[in-house]
Amino acid sequence: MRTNEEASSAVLLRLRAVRKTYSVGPLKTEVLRGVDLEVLRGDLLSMMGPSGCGKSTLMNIVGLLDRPTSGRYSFAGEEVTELDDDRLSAIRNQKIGFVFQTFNLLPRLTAVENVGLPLVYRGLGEQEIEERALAGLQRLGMGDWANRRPNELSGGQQQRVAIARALVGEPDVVLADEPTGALDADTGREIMQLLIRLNAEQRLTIVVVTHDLAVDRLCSRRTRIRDGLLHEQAQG
Amino acid sequence: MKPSTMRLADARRGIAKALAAPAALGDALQGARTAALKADVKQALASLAVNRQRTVLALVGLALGVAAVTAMVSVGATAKAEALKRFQDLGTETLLIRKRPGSSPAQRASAVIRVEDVATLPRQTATIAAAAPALQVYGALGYGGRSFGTKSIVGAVQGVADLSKLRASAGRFLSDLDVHRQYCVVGHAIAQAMGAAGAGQVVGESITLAGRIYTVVGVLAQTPRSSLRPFRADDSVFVPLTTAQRVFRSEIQFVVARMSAGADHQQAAAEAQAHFQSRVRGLRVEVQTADDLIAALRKQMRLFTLLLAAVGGISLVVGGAGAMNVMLASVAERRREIGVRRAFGARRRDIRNQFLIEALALSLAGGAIGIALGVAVPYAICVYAGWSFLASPAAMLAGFGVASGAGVFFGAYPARRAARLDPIAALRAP
Repeated sequence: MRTNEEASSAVLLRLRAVRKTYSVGPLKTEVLRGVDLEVLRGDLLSMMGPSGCGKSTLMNIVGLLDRPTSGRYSFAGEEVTELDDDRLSAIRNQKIGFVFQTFNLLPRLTAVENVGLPLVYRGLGEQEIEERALAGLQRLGMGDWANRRPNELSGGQQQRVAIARALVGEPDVVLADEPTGALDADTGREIMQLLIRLNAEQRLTIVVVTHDLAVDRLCSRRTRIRDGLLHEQAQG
Repeated sequence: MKPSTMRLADARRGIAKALAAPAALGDALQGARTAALKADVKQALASLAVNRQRTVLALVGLALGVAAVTAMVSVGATAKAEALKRFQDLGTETLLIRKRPGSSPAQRASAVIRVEDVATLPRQTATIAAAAPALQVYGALGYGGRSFGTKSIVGAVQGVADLSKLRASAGRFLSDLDVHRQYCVVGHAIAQAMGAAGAGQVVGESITLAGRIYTVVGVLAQTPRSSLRPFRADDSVFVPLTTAQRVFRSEIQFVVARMSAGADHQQAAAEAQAHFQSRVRGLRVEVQTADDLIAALRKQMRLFTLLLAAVGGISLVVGGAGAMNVMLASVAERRREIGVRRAFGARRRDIRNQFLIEALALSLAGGAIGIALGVAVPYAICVYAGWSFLASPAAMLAGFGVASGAGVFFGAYPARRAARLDPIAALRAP
């Protein structure tokens, strides 16, 4: 159960002995084999590992898009492994911001409409949504592109719009899945600088999944995923 | 299971859900957040515009279906009004008694309707209040040295005017004092033709009918067509019955009659038949009543309605299947969008509503076209058939209802599938 103390405590996400097994017919594949992780408020945490190591699966569980086969997961003090789909949707809506490798902007919506998407599912009024989305775009220097559609924007610009969308609902944590994976090196660095700045200035908790060592090095807390287990790297 | 494989069980569940769809729609509209709803409607229209070809195909089917339903209701209402009007004109108490052709020429020659038997009909049968004999032949009409072609010539007694609701707009109708006189009354259209040929006042002019000269004593006001008037009054020339019998050597062919107030149609018909049969050996008459004609008209209408219903039903199923196809394709193409929306907090029902609204937009667009067609086509038919068109709000309402029903019914399954997509799989979609 969630208490006020826990809700505001330093530990934002706590995973205990999280396992995930996929079964295809008689074959069982254990992708996660007992992951323990505590993400603190204000962390900029990387999860690095080769493809197929289970980092996407872990990210989906952390992002409440998937459920662990066993283990406990508490999000801001709330045990979430047993919650129903609607409640999980509500937590995603209120407390998590996703950033994807391929941006995943909706092609038929303008930048400002894309940014406002999470607020639509909060049931806010049209005008408030637009105002907040526009303000979010402006904070990331994208105010002039508010009425462009994604195909009228460069990759870096699209990812900025996507980050604005992840931030617009003032989430507790931003989950970035290979945020620089589809960008050239310079643009990727810019996006990482943006995330670092958000982390530093707003104490925004960010979890970055990557297989890129350059990205990993920029994070203050670094973890490795190997053979379904998570290992913390030494600080610094 | 791959999300793209549709199993029979899924389909069955889909249909079961579809049947529960109106409730889902109510839920959708009630639980909808206005901003989300607005966004959904906007999205829906944009999405339909993108898949233009598929959308148009589905629209055609839906439009035909809705048009058929709208036309069905509209034609029904119009025909009913038209039938009512016809019988309002003559009254439902009017009977038409006709001689039925006899079996042998000899019988045909001897078994004739006699004037005196017509005269005794109202007196001897309780159900019939009045009766007037008439006959109809055809002959060449000429005026002022010009030929007007072959026209209907009706030999009538004075009573025919009253029973057949013929009114003189100038002069007078034939009188029973005109026996054997070469007098005539012309119908509205013939009077107009004579006017065009230079007749100032038609009454008093002379015309030739089958080579004999007649003096026009009256002109009829315009008279609507009726099934219980075996002649087209506007295009006929009326002469005294006795004159017609003598000149054209014709016998009485029909009797126009009126029932007593409150009399039963079938009883009146039976009594009239018995009356003539008892008077003249071998004489058989058939009696047409307003009821008979209304029944015949109904039967005809029912056939027509059934045909439209079949066309409407088939079109709706075809259009609905098309709409479902459009929606399934739309869901398949937008799996990633669904994943993104789910990631940012859309609940299953939000996704379902989004696609339900899209299906509804599709079918209402088809419905709007269909309603327009379903009103325009009956209108055209009415103009062609000379009926007065009746724009029926019920028809439009029915069309609207059918369209939205089809949208919800055929949209429910794709919307359900969209809502049940696994967000992770959806996000990984190409």
